[in-house]
Amino acid sequence: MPLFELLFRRHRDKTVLAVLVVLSLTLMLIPEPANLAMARGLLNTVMYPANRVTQFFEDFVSVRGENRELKKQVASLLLERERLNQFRVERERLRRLAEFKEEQFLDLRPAEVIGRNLDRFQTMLVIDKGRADSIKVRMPVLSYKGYVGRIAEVFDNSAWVQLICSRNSPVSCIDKRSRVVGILEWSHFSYFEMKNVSIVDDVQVGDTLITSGFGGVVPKGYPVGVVSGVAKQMDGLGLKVTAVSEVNFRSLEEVFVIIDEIPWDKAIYFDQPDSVIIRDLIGEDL
Amino acid sequence: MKRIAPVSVLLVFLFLQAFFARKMAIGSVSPDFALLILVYLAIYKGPLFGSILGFGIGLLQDLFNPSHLGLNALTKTLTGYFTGLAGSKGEPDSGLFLFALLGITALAHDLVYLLIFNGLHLGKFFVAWVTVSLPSAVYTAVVGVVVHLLVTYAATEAVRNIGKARS
Repeated sequence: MPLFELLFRRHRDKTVLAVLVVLSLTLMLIPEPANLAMARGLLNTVMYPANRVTQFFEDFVSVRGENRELKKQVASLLLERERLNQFRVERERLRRLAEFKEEQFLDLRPAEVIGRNLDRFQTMLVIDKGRADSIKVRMPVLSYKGYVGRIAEVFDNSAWVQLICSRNSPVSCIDKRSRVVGILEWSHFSYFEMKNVSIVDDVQVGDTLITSGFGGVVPKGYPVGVVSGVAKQMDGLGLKVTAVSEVNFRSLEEVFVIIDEIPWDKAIYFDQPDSVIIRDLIGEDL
Repeated sequence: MKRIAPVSVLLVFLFLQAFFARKMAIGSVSPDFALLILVYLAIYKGPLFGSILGFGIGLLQDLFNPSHLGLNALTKTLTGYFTGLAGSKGEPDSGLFLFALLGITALAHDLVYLLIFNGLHLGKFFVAWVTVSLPSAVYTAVVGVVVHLLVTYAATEAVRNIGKARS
């Protein structure tokens, strides 16, 4: 009892502080227990309606300008598509000649960003697609400008995306020009470091880094950054390569989850007339 | 009422941090409403309340970021406790005191947070501390003082109007 008296009467503040600090440290050391996963699920459910309401008003304000911009893009893309169709026929013929493996297209599921993690050092996004939309853990996530991360946790109607701007998300990448392979790790803001690059490797400022596809989780060929600096490391054995991502992780609004890979001749809109595409995309004829 | 108050604080914090912090961001610098509310309440309520509230807010933030579970809880708990201690020794109603306390607290909080977040990598810590924490601390302190002055002004006016109505 004297110990109780000492701890909870005389030094109550310090005792509570010590308990909370120990609790926090314990949370940092244990590997994501099931009860916290449940708590996160609950939190996600609570935040989901609030996020949807805010998103609705934001969409309402921006939809007119966005619609105008999209129409322009659709017109431009239709011309581009026509040109690509001609290339496709030629490429398909050459591929068959060379007996290459059939090219795969990606089944992309567009998703809106409806929330972000609440501290300033942002490493997570909440998207509005979840288990009901066939989203699964570890699925890769892209933006218009390249690879942004992968699904970390899935709920019924939402999911969390672990961004690559996090110490826990290194990505295997290749220099698009010289095919040098390295591991891309986040440094700060939109800056990354490409690790495991030897002094004899050919990496230059301005080179584009793309995902390597090694490991099978992240598909090959998506841009993850542009080399912004190359310097010799202190030990003289390797290169210190810094890269900057073109993705602004703080203002991501739409992303695409890669659900599956499908044969490219079965991709949507492949053989449909332009009028159908226009109707589906913008709901009217151009 | 006493039980509802902390929950209300957490809900207000959630709302401010989730929807306003991003809108108020200047570049990559945004005010930390979590810290603002924590400091403001801790200096009036003391270290015990501060540490518990800090743990609650920190844990809530951690739930959104499972890769660093417990980190915000730890840093916010320490922040709440030491701010509570500082509040009892200073003048909480003074704008200058609040500005200094918010600025110092934000920097100290980020010092611990970033050191652990970056795995004690001093280079990365220093870059983030100088480029994000320093301007964020000033921004948070300015927002805190402005809110404090507005709240004080509104409260004074309300008391004056009640006095006039009674007389």
